[in-house]
Amino acid sequence: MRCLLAVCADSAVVDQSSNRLSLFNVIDSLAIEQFPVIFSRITPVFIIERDDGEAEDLEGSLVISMGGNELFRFPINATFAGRPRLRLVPQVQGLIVPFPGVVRSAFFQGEREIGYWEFPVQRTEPSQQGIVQAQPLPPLNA
Amino acid sequence: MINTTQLNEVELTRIYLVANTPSYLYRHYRVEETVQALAKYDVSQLLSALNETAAENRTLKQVVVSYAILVALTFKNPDEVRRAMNQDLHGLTWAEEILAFGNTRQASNQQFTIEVKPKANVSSPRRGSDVQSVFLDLQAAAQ
Repeated sequence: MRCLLAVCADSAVVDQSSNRLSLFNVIDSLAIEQFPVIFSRITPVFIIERDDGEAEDLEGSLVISMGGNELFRFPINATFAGRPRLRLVPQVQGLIVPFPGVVRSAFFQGEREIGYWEFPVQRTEPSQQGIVQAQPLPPLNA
Repeated sequence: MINTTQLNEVELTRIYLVANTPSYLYRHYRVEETVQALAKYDVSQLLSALNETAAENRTLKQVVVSYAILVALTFKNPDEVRRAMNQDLHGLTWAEEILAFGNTRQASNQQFTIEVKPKANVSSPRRGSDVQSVFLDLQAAAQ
């Protein structure tokens, strides 16, 4: 069993008629003004392929970590339903990232990590966009 | 007209001879550069080349070239391949499975939502009536 693709996106959909997967806003880095921050929505995507004769059922875990510290772990039981590939598209809501660093989203089959995606979360200066700076008016008799 | 002599026949034959499953053959042929180069041809050209390899009893070379073409077809639009496919696949035991690997319908999907719950319990602030009752309790205790 191997992971063909591991990625994080804002959202992902599978077209019902063609069974094609589309990813929206792939997350390869994030700039955040204040920490801790809550990600209202993040969608880790894993495409897993099995060999002939390998089990139909997959028992694993989605683990999101940062610098070796586990932020979140969720057990996932899935089935290939007689097909060679499986797409796992969990949408995680409310993930708390406490400080800047590299977020790692990984899928574990038992104790074995079979795929991961990493992206840096950096602190950025507060945006000045939209703030109008007051300019002193010229003297009336000028 | 496809020139199949560009295929790395030695390596493809080696893979074919050790392959014990269709998925093994598919995976290893798919990463072979000369098979990927074959996929640059049109579906119709690939199918006519596949037709040329058809024989009552395919030789080892013909089988290897046929599978290389079939794997090259998995890089193409599966709907287009299915519509145009009218080939003699006699002697190619794994042909159907290999073509099916390229089909997007061969993936099952598991979509779900996970809500991350905060680890710390945050109690809600006391309401005015609660504060009043605590105050009265304290007052009673003081008397």
